[in-house]
Amino acid sequence: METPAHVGFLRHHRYRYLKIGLILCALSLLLYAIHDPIDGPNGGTWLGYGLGSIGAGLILVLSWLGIRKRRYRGGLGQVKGWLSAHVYLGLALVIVGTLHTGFQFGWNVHTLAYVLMLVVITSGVYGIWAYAALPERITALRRGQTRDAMLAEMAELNRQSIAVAQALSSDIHRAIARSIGRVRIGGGVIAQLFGPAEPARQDFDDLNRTLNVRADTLLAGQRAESEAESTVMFIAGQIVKRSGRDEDEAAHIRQLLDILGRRKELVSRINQDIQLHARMQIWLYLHVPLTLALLAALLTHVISVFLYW
Amino acid sequence: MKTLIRRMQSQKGTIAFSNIPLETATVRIGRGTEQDVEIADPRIALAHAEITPMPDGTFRLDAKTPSGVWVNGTPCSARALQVNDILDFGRFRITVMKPEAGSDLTLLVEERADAVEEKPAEIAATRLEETWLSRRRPAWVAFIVVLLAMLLLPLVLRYAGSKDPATQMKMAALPLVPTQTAWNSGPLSSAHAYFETDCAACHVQPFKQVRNNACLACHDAVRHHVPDAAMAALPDFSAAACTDCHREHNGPDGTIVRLASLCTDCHENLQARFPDSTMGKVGDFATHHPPFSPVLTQFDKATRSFKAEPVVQEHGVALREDNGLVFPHNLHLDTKGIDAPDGKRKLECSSCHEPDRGAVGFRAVSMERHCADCHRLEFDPDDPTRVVPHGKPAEVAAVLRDHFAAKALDRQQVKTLGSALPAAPERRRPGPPRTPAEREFIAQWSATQGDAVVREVFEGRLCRYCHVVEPTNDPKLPWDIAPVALQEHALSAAAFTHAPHADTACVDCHAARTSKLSSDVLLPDIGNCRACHGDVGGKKQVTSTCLDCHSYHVDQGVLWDPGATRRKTLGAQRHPKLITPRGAS
Repeated sequence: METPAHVGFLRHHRYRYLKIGLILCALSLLLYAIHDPIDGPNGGTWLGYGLGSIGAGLILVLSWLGIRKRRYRGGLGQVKGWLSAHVYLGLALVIVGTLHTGFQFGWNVHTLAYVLMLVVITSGVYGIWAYAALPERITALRRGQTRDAMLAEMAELNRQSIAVAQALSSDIHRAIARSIGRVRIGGGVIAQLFGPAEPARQDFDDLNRTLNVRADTLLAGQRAESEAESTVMFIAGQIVKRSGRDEDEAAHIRQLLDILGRRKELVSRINQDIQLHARMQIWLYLHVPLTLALLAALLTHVISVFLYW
Repeated sequence: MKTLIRRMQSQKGTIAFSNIPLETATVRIGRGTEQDVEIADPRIALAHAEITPMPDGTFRLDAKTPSGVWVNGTPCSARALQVNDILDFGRFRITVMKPEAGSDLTLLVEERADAVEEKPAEIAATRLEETWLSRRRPAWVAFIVVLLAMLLLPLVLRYAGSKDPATQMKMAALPLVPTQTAWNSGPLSSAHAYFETDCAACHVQPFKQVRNNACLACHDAVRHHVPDAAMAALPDFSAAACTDCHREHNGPDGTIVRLASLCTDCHENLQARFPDSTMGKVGDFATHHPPFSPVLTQFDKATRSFKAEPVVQEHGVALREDNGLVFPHNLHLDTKGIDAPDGKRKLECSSCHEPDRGAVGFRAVSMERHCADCHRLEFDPDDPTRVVPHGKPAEVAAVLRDHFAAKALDRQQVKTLGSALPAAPERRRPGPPRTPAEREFIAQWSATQGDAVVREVFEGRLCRYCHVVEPTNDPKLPWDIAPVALQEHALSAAAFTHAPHADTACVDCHAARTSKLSSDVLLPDIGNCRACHGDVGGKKQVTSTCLDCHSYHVDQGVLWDPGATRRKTLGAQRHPKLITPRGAS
């Protein structure tokens, strides 16, 4: 049988943990359905204690991933196996935990633990989606370049644009220098998640418009005769100096527009890259702290339940 | 095409060239290791550009990335290459040379020492790690906050703070103070709501389940399931825990579990555990419940007393009991009404059967209140206000005789009696004593008249109307009234209350309209109940549990725990207001 070069964490070991999770859920649901305690389903029946123990055990095992993945020297199984188990057993925990409650909720530490568990799992579900869907989009977006390479290329474009602008009027040079200062890459949490603030784009559009108007004015006279001239010529910066300074300036502006266009595309890609990365990571800032809160609530839940048995 | 790649490398100040001849269809340039010209610069894409030979012998450069390739200081995506064109790839520069002998294209690849990797000087955070967001610190903060607020502070307040329940309850009432109420797994029943914040009232010992003692501290009058102490000592009963049936923290509706299986576990086949038991098997109410066994009275003529014994009420079998009365229900409930002193009167059940104050049962029917209005106890048509006392046969005879003696003394009245007795002197002068003839006459007349009326009262129109009158050999009281037993509640093992059935007509259950004899048992049988009441889970009937009629704890018999009273004093110390009887201080 052909072994694929890479098997994702969701399909690890031919869905071993998906199967284990499903069996666990099915068993829990079956027992819950046939179990009929005298005072209604609750956490204090034999099934309640059983589901509670399994749930608490699962929470500990699932939390251990945070430690296991940092142990590069290894341990039991691959990290990928741990992640696969983490995902599927974590999803099964929703069923196990919910049935453990017997649907009895209140303003107490027990329901707090349950709610924390649900929030942690919900953020984890987002994480599954993020890890399954976003890396492909990042790869497609980067086209083989690294983030640093893109940033370096942007710097190069900035340098080029300044160099070209030097040959033009001081107004344009100033505008270009200002536009370089206003390029927005990344930023705070919100900017990273939803893209940088609008003014930078506004600036770019303004500058673009100014340059276009200027170039159109310059070229208005000669447009008729240069109709045959291909745009490629402009792009390649091969404008033949036929009609003196105006054409020269127009060519430089074309070049500048080209650089700015490329930079705009690049900045947009960098920001998208930042955005995708941020969206792939953000859930962990909820998942991890709330997991610790959950562990504290779980500990309190177990101690208080048996303290006042 | 044949290409010669000349790589210029500077090593320790000296410059070295290496020539790499290629024979490929195109020349691919990029960072990837499979590229023909590998450019080790992070800014360069894995596949960055490609040089293709054109049919006219020139070469064409195609950028493979959207940012294009820098040719002679200008970015472009496609163009024709010329000799001396300079292609910039990050810190590497490729110059198109004049083709050397044996090659179509010669490229000089050099690493520019002056082109340092440029990074924008001021760039905002591009990773979430570079923002204020953090995982580790909030995680520890969350862990400690939850542990502190939910576990440690409540623990400290519970075990290191005041042990006084009143203080603890006051503290629990304070908003935002983390107390043990955060551990409350659910609202208490309304009966125990007072203890909601005094967990230790029931949870006496940490890490130990609630014991019976905690309950018996207040509930000292609770009786066992069985009436006698020897049975109560059997493990079946003595090992029972209050919490087996009484479950708390399930909301205000109460702690009593009304699950049939708690009873039927044993009662479905009681004989398996107690072979001598005569109790019927109970699996459910609708189909597996024995018929009722009302306690009925039978009159024992020998001892002239009533014996009360349970009698199985099989469906369709009319039961009789002795009560010593003559009372046809059907006559009294005649829908046309019955004769009364003030004309026709229509009686209802409630005319005689008045609900008691608690609307649980009925007040006893009483002759004076319910019967005497029509069934008057007059005996002398001349004096309709005079009545015999009810319920005292000996007094009845005496009253009658006295009445007629007095009457005889009044000559006028004697005359009006129109008796055939010897004529008496017309008038007696005041002063002189009665003549012997007069005295003889009075004694004789009153005795005759009295005896006649006594006979008439007992045997004729009054007593016998409702009672069984029996002759005696006693000349002073030749008749006696048979004892009367009015049944009050015949089902001793079940507690039936009429109140929830108030909207049902009495005759829907009790066949009073057709009952001709007072000995008819009008108690409906179980089939009558089953017309409306069914088991839990049924959809067409009133769901009824065992506890709707029965109680686990017997009405009379051994206390659950004779030592409970002692513990009650302990409970009283804990919550004096609740447990100390009213009036005591």
